[in-house]
Amino acid sequence: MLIDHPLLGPRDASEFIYMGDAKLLNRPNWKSQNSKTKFLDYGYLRKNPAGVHKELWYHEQGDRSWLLVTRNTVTHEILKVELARDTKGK
Amino acid sequence: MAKLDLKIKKPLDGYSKVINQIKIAEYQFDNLISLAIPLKTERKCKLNFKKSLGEPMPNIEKSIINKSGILGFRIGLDLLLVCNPSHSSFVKKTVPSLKQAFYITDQTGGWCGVRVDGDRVIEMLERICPLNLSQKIFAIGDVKRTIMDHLNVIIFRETEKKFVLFSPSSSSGSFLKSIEISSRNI
Repeated sequence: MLIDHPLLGPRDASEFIYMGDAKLLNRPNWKSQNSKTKFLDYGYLRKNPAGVHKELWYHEQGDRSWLLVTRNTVTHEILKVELARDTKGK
Repeated sequence: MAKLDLKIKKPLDGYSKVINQIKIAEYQFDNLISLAIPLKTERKCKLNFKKSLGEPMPNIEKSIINKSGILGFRIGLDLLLVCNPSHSSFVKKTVPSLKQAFYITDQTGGWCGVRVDGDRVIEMLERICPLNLSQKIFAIGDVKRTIMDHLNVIIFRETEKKFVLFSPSSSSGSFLKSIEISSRNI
């Protein structure tokens, strides 16, 4: 599988580490009213869809960047790759 | 007290061999340091890099070589490596100058360099390297960090058929073995 890195071009997936669901980018506010429930959701609950999924990949054997990859988990087709730093909070 | 004569021992002890017309030799250097760009100071770092090394700070996956033969590699948006093969005033002058803008870590003992050179070098590398080595994609002077035989490697293209591969010195023996085996099997 090739991941088309936004800065470096297509790179072999062996250079990356899969770091899970991209919901980890949106950490709940600990001051919010139901923060306990939100953190339970943030820490443990995942949708695990069969289809389009936004996920985090870390380019460990490369430039050490974090990527937000939109991938179809059924076909493994990669639909979009962005730098996580450019998308956080959007 | 006995007078000790200390000598630096390189990870591959000066290894050099030719296999299938590919010359494989340890690439020796005196110093290797990493430069990290502190948050929101890229402009200051660019000016400092130019002042310290006499060359502009390279773009990502590009390199520079200055008049003294010092190499600078940019391997990430905020990370560079500077390799000094043998310039004598590097530690006394260049490093203190770079310290004024960058976070610096000495990595001299952490990395081992191997130079591979020869007409069949691409055939040998294609067996272990997942990168596209065509010159359109990986031009002379480019540098990339990747994985070869499960080991972290920084690959630098010196000429069309000459590369320097930096791997962690702790696993340099295993990496050299992969290079030797790949060279034999082309």
